[in-house]
Amino acid sequence: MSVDKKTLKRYWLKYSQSGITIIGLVIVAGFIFLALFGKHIAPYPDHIGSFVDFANASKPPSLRHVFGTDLMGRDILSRIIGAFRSTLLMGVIVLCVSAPVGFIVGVVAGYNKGSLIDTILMRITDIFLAIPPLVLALAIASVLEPNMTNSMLAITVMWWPWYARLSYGVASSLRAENFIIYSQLVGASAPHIIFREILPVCLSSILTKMTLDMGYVIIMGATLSYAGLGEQAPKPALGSMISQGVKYMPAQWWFTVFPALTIILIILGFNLFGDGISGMLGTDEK
Amino acid sequence: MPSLFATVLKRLGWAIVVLIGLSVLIFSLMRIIPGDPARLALGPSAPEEVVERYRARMHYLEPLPVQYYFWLRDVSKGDFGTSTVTKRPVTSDLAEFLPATLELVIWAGIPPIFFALILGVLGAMYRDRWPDYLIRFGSYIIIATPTFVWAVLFLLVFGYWLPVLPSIGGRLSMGMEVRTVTGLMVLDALIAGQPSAAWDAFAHLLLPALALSLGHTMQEARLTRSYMLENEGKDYITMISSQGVPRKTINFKFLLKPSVIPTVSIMGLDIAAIFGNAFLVETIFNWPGMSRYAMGAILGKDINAVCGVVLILGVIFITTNLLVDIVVMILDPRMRQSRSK
Amino acid sequence: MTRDGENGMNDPLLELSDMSVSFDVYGRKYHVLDGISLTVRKGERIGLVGESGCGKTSTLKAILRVLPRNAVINGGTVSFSGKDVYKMSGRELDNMRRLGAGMIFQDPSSALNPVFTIESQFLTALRYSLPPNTPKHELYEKAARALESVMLPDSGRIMKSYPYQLSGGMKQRVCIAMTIAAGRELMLADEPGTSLDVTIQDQILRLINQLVLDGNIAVIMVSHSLGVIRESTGYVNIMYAGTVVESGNTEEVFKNPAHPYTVALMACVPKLTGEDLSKGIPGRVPDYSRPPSGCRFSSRCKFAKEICLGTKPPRIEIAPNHFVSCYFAGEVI
Repeated sequence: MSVDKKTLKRYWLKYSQSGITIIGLVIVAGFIFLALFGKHIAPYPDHIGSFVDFANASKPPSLRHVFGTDLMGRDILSRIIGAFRSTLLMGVIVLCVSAPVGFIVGVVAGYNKGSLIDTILMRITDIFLAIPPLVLALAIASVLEPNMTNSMLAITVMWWPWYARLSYGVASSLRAENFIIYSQLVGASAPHIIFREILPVCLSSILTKMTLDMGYVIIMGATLSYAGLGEQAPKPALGSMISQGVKYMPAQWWFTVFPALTIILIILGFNLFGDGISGMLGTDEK
Repeated sequence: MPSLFATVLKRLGWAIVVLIGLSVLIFSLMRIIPGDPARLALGPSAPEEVVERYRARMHYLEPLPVQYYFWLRDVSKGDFGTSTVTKRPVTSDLAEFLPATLELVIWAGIPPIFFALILGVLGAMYRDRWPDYLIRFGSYIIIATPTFVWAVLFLLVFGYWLPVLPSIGGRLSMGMEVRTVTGLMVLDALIAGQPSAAWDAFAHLLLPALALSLGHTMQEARLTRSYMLENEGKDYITMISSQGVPRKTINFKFLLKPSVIPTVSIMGLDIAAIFGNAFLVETIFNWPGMSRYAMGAILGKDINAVCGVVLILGVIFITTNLLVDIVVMILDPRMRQSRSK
Repeated sequence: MTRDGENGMNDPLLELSDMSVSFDVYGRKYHVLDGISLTVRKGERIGLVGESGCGKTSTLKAILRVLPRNAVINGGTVSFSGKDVYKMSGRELDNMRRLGAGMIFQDPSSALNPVFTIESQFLTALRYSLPPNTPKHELYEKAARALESVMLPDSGRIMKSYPYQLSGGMKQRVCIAMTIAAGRELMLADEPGTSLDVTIQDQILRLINQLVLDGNIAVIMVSHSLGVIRESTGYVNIMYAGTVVESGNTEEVFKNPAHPYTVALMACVPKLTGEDLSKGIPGRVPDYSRPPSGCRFSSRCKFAKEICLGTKPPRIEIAPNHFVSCYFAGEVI
């Protein structure tokens, strides 16, 4: 794909309309970089796993351990960085599975609006939407083994209906458009129409929703992890670091405060980034 | 408004269909779980013949549709079975714990809307000036903070450093008692004519409700602001201002109403999310509600209790959405016409 | 109707001189209006013709000072009854909008607030136009009479309705009623009826003509239809890409068009005799973010010379009250 400099500049101007979105880009870029290469950059890489050094346990922040150490004497900064990869993976996998699934369900229903398929698919979607999201995730995560994969599965199950709703709206309004009717007249197959005609129209709003959702998925993942249903010890996860730290408040405040601030920063970054993208693609979803 | 009535009736019909679907979903979830449900319900120490009898009584040996029929028959009579954690009927557990959760969610869900609207209007009116920047900056930070982080933060601040509000331990201070009428403590205290108890109950509510509502409030404020700005460019606003109607009347009448309708229409989803988040907040604040009960049930693999809770939440959620739809139809006359959104 | 007015008593009601407006979009400036000048006297009917997107609507909005937020006034003045609209106090501006000039929007469906009844919108607007403390029943009667005068006899039902319950034609009539109810002196009609059926559009135009004649209301009729303009105006301004290229008494301009754009525009109108199918005008409207420094039509003009590209042509009076902005005015035909 060849994008000339002028178009790029225009995109950048649209992205950075409100200025603050540039901060989002910086945070997101930094976060992804650390998620990919953090294991080599963290000050104490071996502290990310099951490492024990009781002599240095529960030390407050110092020059050697900027964010202090935990009960096992592990460097909290290293563990926070170590948790980035699973945090990022959580967001990416959940969205990359739920968006296509939701798209297919929504488009097939919307394209066949008024038919039995439409009714069945959209009622199923409604049923999934009828349970408070976190409750569904908790219920699923609880009947399965508590681990990272199952918590991703649980969040995906509650996330796809939103993409179904979105694509349904677009598809059902598009099916009456002339370019779709012409395609049908010249004998285009349903898959052709769905992927070649409808998908390109939906794409920018789906992409926008995906970037905007990133922060929420990460919140949801952290929440499950806080409830003990995410990544299991000794692997680090931001949510479980907080839930374990709460018991030692306020004396060992650094157990809790630094992972909490990190979560806020990451989500802030993704939310700002999402706002910039929606401004750039002209799909200002509120 | 005859069309309003007809639309509501139609929505009600769909709500029942969704509920039945939900029950199928929950039933399947129960049966997906690896392991023998009878053994799971009675525990590993129960003798084999007891488990055998239980299996027959619960129709576990029959085909799944038949099992579903019997399960649904019990559920529709309000019988969710016995909780393996509390050893009591799930229904009586729910009756005990639900009011506390409802009270929390109502306080966290409804009064903050007004703050959200005020902030949204202020932001739009002072667009790109300091009040707007302040609200926007604040909302970015607040929205980015997960509910459980707020709860933990409040615990740290009000539990240890600034103990002006009760942060741990139930809905009322020790030694206080209020006769139960509605189950909503503040209301009950007012009904019983005990203002000090009402105040005490409110103080207990404040922190968990605040933790639950902050993110949503700011989200709603942002939404209101952006719809205000979007609608400001619409012809009907240009038209009415070209007629010489004062700015204030335009902002608070002709601009505000169309701009809050989208915010109001997502209220149902917000309430659902608040219910979800209440699971953690109740645990953190030791709030004797249903969510804390369900959290225990989830972690203890208490299937009957989980089903009861999820189904009750589904009913509440569907009812809330119906109410929200009615409010939206009252606000937006166009909605009374079109059947589906 | 002649330009000078029979008794010479007519001071201009509205005068735009050299009005220039640009829009800021993503840091880019779009120069949408470039030196618009026009005059309207009491009771006069003038036309504003041009293709879609040439700045007709922006001109009207600039008059009422209701341009969108991202609009920037780069120069020029608008004065209403001798007062500079952009220097008016809030009170003076309100007065101008309440009693002086009113606008009819192109699309009646978007010009009425969807979530308020007609009554609520109409009476709120009317309350500020009439003396304070006018009792509500008087407001209501006045509105009802205005609705009847736009051929909406069932005013009681209309008042109770929401916009979505009315047809496009009815909404357009409601908008017209809101504009005339308070007795404004000038009506700015932005392509009235173009979003409606042709037959309804015709009725709306007739109605407007009747109302302005009966009420001696001045009107700026915006249209891209030459037929409409010819029928209903006494003076016409031809706009191209944010500039007025030609203006004069309607009959004179139609008889002796002098600007190459006007000539081409008239050639585009299919003749009823069918002898000459329209040829269209080759080329495209210039990029408003980088308009040519000379004549804005130069890129499409088959007579363009070096001079047209470099500097803006002056406004020349080629016949009494017939102005053309072209170096070769009158020579090209």
